[in-house]
Amino acid sequence: MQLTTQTRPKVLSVLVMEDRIDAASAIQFKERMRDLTGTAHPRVVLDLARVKFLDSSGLGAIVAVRKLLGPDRVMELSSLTPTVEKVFRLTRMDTIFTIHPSHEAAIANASAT
Amino acid sequence: MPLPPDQPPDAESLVFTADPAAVRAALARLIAAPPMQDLTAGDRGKVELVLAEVLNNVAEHAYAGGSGPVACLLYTSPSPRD
Repeated sequence: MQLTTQTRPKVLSVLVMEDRIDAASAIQFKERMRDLTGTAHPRVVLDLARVKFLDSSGLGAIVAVRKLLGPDRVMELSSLTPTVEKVFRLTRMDTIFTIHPSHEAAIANASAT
Repeated sequence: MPLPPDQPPDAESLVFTADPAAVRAALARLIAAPPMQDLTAGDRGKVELVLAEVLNNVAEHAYAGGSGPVACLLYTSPSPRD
């Protein structure tokens, strides 16, 4: 599971470098995310630009990571591809997460507050 | 594992092991198979999601923690089956 991080004073960005988060990789994704988000950043942006496929295991892992961050930190998403966006809409998870059209937009927004 | 004898001409049949890595490999093959080629990219995405959810449930539950074969037959049908 290839994940790349970028750190800014208040924002930790995690860019997923894989084309899918599925049943075969969800546990690994969750564990890697738990390690990477062990910082004090109040905001975490998960960029899914390269992810072409997300199943319920992958969605469950993303929700689990959000819960791991606890109530005092926020997790936002960016760059959802059409198939991934459909999964979030179908499951109403698009109402739970703030979703930005691009990583740049997420950073601009996250830095503003 | 025998598959039904009356397969449509574009049918793609596949037998694989009930585990997440084999399901992922099977999905890649099924999505590239002839029955999928006339679908739009959006519809192919829907089919892949439905197949993934079904096959991952099979991988997780069918053999109660063990492993075994899964047979999958994919073809296009002019109308919904009864």
